Amino acid sequence: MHHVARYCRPRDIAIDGVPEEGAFRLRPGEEYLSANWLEYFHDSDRPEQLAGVRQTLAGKGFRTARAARFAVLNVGGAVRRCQELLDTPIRFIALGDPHDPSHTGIYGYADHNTAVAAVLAAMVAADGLYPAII
Amino acid sequence: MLATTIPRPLSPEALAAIPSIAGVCAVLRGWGRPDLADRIAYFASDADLDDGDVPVTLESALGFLVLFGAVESADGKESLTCSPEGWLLSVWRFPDLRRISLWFVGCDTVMFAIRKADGRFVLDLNNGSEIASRNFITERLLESEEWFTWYNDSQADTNLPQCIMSPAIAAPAT
Repeated sequence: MHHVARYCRPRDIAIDGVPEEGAFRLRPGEEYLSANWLEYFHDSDRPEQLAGVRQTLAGKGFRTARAARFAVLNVGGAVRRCQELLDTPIRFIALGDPHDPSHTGIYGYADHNTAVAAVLAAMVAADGLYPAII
Repeated sequence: MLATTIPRPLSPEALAAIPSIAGVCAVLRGWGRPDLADRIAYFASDADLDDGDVPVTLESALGFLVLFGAVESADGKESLTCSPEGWLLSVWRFPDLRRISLWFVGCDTVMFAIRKADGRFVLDLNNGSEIASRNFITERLLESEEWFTWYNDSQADTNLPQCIMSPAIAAPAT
């Protein structure tokens, strides 16, 4: 099984700590939604995987907010749900950036496709949220 | 329900007289919803803004205010977040799989994602487009009677006010 972590801005997180679909909506003009492939850093150790993501983003100069969260998505589950519910074939493609080899793009939906964002938000399990800064 | 000193829903004249985000927050407090006012005040501040993000826009906040003032949901619980463009995202979560997500792109325009009780999404509400006028979406949500009802039945068979951004509203708050 493969998983990705999506950075969720504090303003995308509801008062109860759950990221809403805004965290998974493409901005106008964006071709894909950015995420980080967790198994790149370790097969299964979630703390180690997320430590890798934090280190990588910091290395790229990405400023993470204290109240931000990483939302973990199961890749196969997300693809299946979008196909079942929306007949929309989303794809997770490893982009392999030199400075961020775990960088993954979620492709296959347009910036106005709010339903895909809603499905992805609903896929985040209660135990799939992690602080962006520890 | 707390007694309010501000009429709900808002009249077009009252809407046009709201000059700022602070005015939107004052109305929500008057309606007994300081929690929503606090959220909007947070989104209007510089707190937690990422590079390129903007605070919530007045047009977006007014759009939410018009809708929230006109309708109520028996079992939907609303929450607010804010997009990088400064659009309020209002989500109503229901005890079953129903869920309404409305991005107030402007005062009279919304993007939406609406999920029914069977878990499927309403995709043909506006010929498949996921952006529509606020009044159009509101009317469709009210028609089916499973999401919203008019607030206290006071707006039944009437139209929601349109936002007319007068120069006084467009000017920065002093």
